[in-house]
Amino acid sequence: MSFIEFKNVSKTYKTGEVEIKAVDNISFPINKGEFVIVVGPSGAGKTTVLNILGGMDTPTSGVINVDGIDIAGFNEKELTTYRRDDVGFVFQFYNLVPNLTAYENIELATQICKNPVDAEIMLAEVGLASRKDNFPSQLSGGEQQRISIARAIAKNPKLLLCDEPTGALDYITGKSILKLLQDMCRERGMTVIVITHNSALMPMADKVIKINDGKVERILLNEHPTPVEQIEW
Amino acid sequence: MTKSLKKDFRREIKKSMSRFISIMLIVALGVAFYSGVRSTMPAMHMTADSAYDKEDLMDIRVVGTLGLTQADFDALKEIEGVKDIEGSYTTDFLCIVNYKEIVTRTISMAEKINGIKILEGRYPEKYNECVVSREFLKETGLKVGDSLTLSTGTDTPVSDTLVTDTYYIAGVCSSTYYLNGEVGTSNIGDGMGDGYIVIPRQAFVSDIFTSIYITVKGAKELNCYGDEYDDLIDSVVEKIEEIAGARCEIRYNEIRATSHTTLQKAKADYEEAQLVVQEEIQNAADELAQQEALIAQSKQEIQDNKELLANAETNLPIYEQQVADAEKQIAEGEKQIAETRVALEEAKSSLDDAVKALEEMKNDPDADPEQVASMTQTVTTMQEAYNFIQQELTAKEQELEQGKKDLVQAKVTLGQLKEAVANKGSLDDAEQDIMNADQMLQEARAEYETYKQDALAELADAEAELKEAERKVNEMETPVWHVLDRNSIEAYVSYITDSDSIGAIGTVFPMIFFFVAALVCLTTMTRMVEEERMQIGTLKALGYGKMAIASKYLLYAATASVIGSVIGVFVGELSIPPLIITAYRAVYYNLGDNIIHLNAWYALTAGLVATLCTTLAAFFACYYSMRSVPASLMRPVAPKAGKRTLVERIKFIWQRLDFGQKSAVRNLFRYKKRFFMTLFGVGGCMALLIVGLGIRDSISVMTEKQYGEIFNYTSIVSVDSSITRAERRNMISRVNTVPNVEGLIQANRAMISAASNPSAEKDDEKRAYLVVPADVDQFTGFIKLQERTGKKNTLNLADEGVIITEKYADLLGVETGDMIYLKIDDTTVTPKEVMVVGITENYIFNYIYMTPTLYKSLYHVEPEINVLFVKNNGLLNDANFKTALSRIDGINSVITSADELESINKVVNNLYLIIILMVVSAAVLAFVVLYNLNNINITERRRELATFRLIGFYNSELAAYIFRENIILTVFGIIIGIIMGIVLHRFVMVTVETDVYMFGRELEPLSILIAVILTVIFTVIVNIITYFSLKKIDMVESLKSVE
Repeated sequence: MSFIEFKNVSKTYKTGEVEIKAVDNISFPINKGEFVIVVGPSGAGKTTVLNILGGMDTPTSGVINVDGIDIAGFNEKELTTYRRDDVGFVFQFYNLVPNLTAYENIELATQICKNPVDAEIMLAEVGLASRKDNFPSQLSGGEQQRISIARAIAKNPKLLLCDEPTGALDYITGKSILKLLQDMCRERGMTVIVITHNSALMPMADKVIKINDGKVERILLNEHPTPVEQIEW
Repeated sequence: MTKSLKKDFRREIKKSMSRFISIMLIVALGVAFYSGVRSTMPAMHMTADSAYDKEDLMDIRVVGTLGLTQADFDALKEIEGVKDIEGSYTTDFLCIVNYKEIVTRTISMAEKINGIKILEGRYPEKYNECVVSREFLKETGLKVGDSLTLSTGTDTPVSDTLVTDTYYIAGVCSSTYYLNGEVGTSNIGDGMGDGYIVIPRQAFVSDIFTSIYITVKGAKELNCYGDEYDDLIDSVVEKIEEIAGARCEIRYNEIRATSHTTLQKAKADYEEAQLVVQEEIQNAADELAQQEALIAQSKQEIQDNKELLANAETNLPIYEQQVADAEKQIAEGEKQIAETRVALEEAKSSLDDAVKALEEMKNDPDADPEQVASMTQTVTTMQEAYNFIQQELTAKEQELEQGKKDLVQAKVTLGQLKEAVANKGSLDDAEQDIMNADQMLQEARAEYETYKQDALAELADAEAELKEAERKVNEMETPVWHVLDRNSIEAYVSYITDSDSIGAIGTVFPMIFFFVAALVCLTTMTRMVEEERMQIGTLKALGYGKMAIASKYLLYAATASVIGSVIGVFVGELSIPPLIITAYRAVYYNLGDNIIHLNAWYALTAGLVATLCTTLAAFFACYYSMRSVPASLMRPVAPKAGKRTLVERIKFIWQRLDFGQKSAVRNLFRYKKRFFMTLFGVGGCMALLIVGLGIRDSISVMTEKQYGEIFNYTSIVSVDSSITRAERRNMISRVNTVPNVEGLIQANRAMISAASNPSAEKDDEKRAYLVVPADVDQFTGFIKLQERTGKKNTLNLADEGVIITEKYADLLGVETGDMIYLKIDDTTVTPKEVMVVGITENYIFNYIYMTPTLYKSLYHVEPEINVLFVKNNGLLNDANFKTALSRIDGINSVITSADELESINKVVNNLYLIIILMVVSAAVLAFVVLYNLNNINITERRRELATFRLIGFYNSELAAYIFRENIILTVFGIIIGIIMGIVLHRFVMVTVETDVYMFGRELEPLSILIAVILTVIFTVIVNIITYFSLKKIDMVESLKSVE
């Protein structure tokens, strides 16, 4: 069995009389240490997939096995524990706590989880050791996103979920962020799932899951993923 | 504003209804509180004014120090501006019911001025009918239909003043003149009037009016609390004062003539009394002497008897011997007599034989003549012998007879002696009797001495009084008229004071609400403007002017405020004044119906101030956004930069904090608006609670200290001051035998007034009880004199000056070392100057303590003993004890501390309403502010909180993170609130204090603790509500969108 297994997962939103199927009977596997890109147009349902996988939302039906445990039936508290110990998040808008310094923002994560990486090491790893005592407002967007990644990885999560991590960044910075993610995946053997609408990024992934209209359109496997530096878009 | 902007405005309100309502509510709250409390004062005034007008309360009262005559009345009637005028009689009497002495103000029934309202029964019709006040009924326990009897409590009969002393109660009445039912002080009984009765004018004997009441033309139409009314009354008062001098001169001459006559009579009475007393003393002395003589005589007799007895005892054996001898002799004598008789018989027979023989011889002629002669010779000799024996026998018999007689005599004497010896015992008894008699005589003598001393002392008192009266008459000054307005009515003034204190409270407290309303509006509007940055930018970009854009926000705040103000004015002005007036009705129960009008002035000012506050806040909120260029407005709002705080420089501490604590510290300094708002909200809540609970403290401290620490006696016994010394001594020894009595002290207690300067106006004079203890040394055991502040020095009464109570010193504005001027009553012309030598802790009523020596040097008479302070070792409220005391002759009434406590508690009970008001407003304030704050806090930091949840913070951890700030802010607020509360409490207590009470100034630590706990509870409740909205934060939405 794979490390992560989506089996017949559906998510239906109800607004008044209307039922909207955001995710419709999706199934896919993800292996440990894989760099996965979930791609699709806006409104395809990829964020819903990420939300469900990240324990931010629960599916209407289906099974999600993460490391052998079905999280579909988790209650709120179990989901929180799951997010706390097993998942790292990176978002388009970094979501750093403005009132805490770079170092303290990483601490935010390390102080609550079971097996954290030291915050100083993480800062060094994302190349921002010198900006340790800066507040988010004193950092550029790319730097903020690095801190955000450092914060996500510092927890030593089972999987790293990234929702449009480069969405708010310029081309070069975006690239460097993706490189950082790819490196993290390779060096730390971490399972990284990146959601993007940019299909140009597909070659850098081990696995690409294409989603359209709430369904898995295709699953592509790259035997030899391209390093991100070589991708142009 | 364009059509589309208007549309946007309407939709904005609809969309953000809760925000709109929150501004509206806080404004309504502030306005309701302000306009409600402020308009209470005018409402109280209107209510009272209308009640006064209904009963035609007097505008001016004229009293003369020597009364007023019909001529005075006629003169006053002619004065311009006088509408109605009425002469009136008022005298205080005692009505004793069930051993209780009720000081009863007896008033002549008015026709035009100072009307009364009949609550039950009917008006009095006949000269011996009356209507009584409710207080009188309550004090006496009498009912309509009962009869009451009045007495003067002195030697003067009631008939000097009234036609009859017994009245039938025809009904119950109330009067706005006695708005709170309190009659005030009296110069009889215990010095405090208990109730009043109204009787027809014809029941009064006198033709001298006590006072003349006047109403002024046009005054009824005016509000009697306004300046216009004061001016009108003053103008008439001035005119009356113009004629006062001349009228008084006339009265003076009149009264001088009569008082000389009275004095003359008093002198005669005194002299007569002097004679009587002297005669009585003489009589007693005479009788004593007579008794003494009698006893002396008896003593002499006993002495004689004693001597006799001694004789008898010596003579008894001698007499016994004599009797025995005499008996022997008699026996001997009898024997001899018998022998002699035999000899006599023999001699007789021999003689007879010889005679016979002689005869024979004679007849025998043969007889030898010689023989015959010899025979004859023999017969003669024999005859002679016989005669001799015969004589001897007679002599012996006589001797025996005598001996027998002597024996009888001797036996009698012997018998007497024996008897005398036998009676020795009764002689002893007689002696004992006489000794007893002697003892009694000694006692009688002692009694006589005491009686003599008492009688002489009383005579001396009487003489002193007479001299004083003479001095008074000689020094009598021209009488003075006091032309008084309504401010001379105690209840009238205390009502004004009370309404003023409500007014004062109304100025301070609502400020807190206005402040908070402004702050709430500021934060809310800031938030709103920030939310709509993009829209503002877009509108700017489209070419809308600053004002056009800003007007939306200003209008938003203004609309909410205006609606809130209108609601607040109606709710506040229509509900708060009736509530407070109703509470005050517990005291001023003769008040008529509530007159509540919407007070436009306070409505407008409150509304205007509130609207201005909120609109200004809205203006500041959008000020910066309006100045920014559209481009920067279109960009997402840069989160407020984190800043380093002072605490971070202390590495030692900072390194030990976790990120949550660090963030909390920084946030406190980052959101300054929030910081101050919480400070005000929580602090205000704390302050209100402290004031509320503090009022209770101050009141309970007042009674606890007064009756627990200061007054150590348990009852004040008012005694008949006219009784003699002997009667009083007797009474006191009887009081001492009542079970549980531990001790007592005699004193003079009288209500007097004093001022801080000799020529003070009536308004500046303050009333107090003058207490002169008979025994200064013992006095401290009954009333503790000590300073409240500083080292709490114990004070001792001294002849140099008086000790006065703290509140009294405040009222007069004097300190230790200052002079005060005492006036016994309204008729005192020259006040007595005394120095204040100490100021003592005291809470209830005002007292002046003085030594008897000082009293005598001031008033030239000994202080009259009219009260006893009695201490009992049992319960404070012991009904048996009270009854036992009451039944002793010479005791008029007994007031226990428990009674006083009860009546005081009644008065202060209505303050509890204020406490409730405080607690409720504190709660409202805390909820409104904290809820609002937390809401804004959460919406503003939605992203940050969502991040925390995302990272995997449990709800409890998240709550701890958010609440940590709330807790720190609450702690700050509590600290500020304690300080604010203490200051505010002091202010409130001083404001609501009346002349006769001094509330405790200190707060109990427990109250502060309770206030803290309540504040914490309010905070916790709000935080619990917040917790649920915290849980509702949608992570996904908040993290992905740019706001």
